[in-house]
Amino acid sequence: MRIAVNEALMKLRRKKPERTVSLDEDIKTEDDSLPREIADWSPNPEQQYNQAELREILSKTIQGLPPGFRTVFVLRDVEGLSTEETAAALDLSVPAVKSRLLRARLQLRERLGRYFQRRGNEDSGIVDGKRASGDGNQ
Amino acid sequence: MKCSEFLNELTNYLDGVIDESTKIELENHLSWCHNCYVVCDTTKKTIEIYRDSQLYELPDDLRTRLRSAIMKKCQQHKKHGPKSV
Ligand SMILES: [Zn+2]
Repeated sequence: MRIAVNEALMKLRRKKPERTVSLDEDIKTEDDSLPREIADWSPNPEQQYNQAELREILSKTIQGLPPGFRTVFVLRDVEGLSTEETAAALDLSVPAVKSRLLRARLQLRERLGRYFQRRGNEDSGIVDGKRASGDGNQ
Repeated sequence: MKCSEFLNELTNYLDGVIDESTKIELENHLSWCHNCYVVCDTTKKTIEIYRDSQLYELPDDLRTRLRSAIMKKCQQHKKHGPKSV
C-alpha cells in the first residue's frame, strides 16, 4: 500500500487542495456499497487459503476499490491513524473520512465474501484458491 | 431503528466511538436483525484480516514522514479548521 501512502503524502505537499470538494461529491452515490450479499462467512475464513493465496485475494480485492476509498481504509484501518489524522492527511472533512471508511469497509467485505462465504459442503475445503464454487455472486 | 440507520452508525460502532444510548439501540437492532448482525460481524472480520495481513507494512522512514506530516497538518487544522465543509 505504498501507493496509498504516497498519494497521501502528495496531498500533504500540495498547497491548495482544490479537488477536495469534487472528490467528496463523487462518492455520494448512495447505494453503491449497500450490502447485497449477506451470507455468513466460515468461522476462520483466512485459514481456507494458504499465505500466498490469501495475499493475492486481499491485494486484488483492495485494488478494486476507488483510490479515494482505498487510501482512507489503509490509513485508518491498516495504519491505525485516527479519523482526525486521516482527515488532516488527506485534506478531507471528518464526516467525509467516515463516509469513505464505511463504504470502503462495506465494499471490501462484500468482495471478500466471494472467497470467505460459508459453503454448503465445508468438507471439501479447497476451492482452487480462486473463488467459492459459484453460489451466484453478481 | 431501521437497517439503513444501523449501517450509518456501523463505522462508529466498530470504532467504539459512540454514545451509550446509541450503542444500546444498535445492539438491540443486532439482537433481532440477522442480516445486520452478519454484515457487522463480517465487516469486523474484513478489518481484522487486512490489519493482520501485513500486506502493507510501511517502511519505517515512510511511516515517520507520514506521521510528522500529519501532525503538522493537524496543528494547522486546529488553528484554521478543516478546509472542506
Ligand atoms: Zn438490520
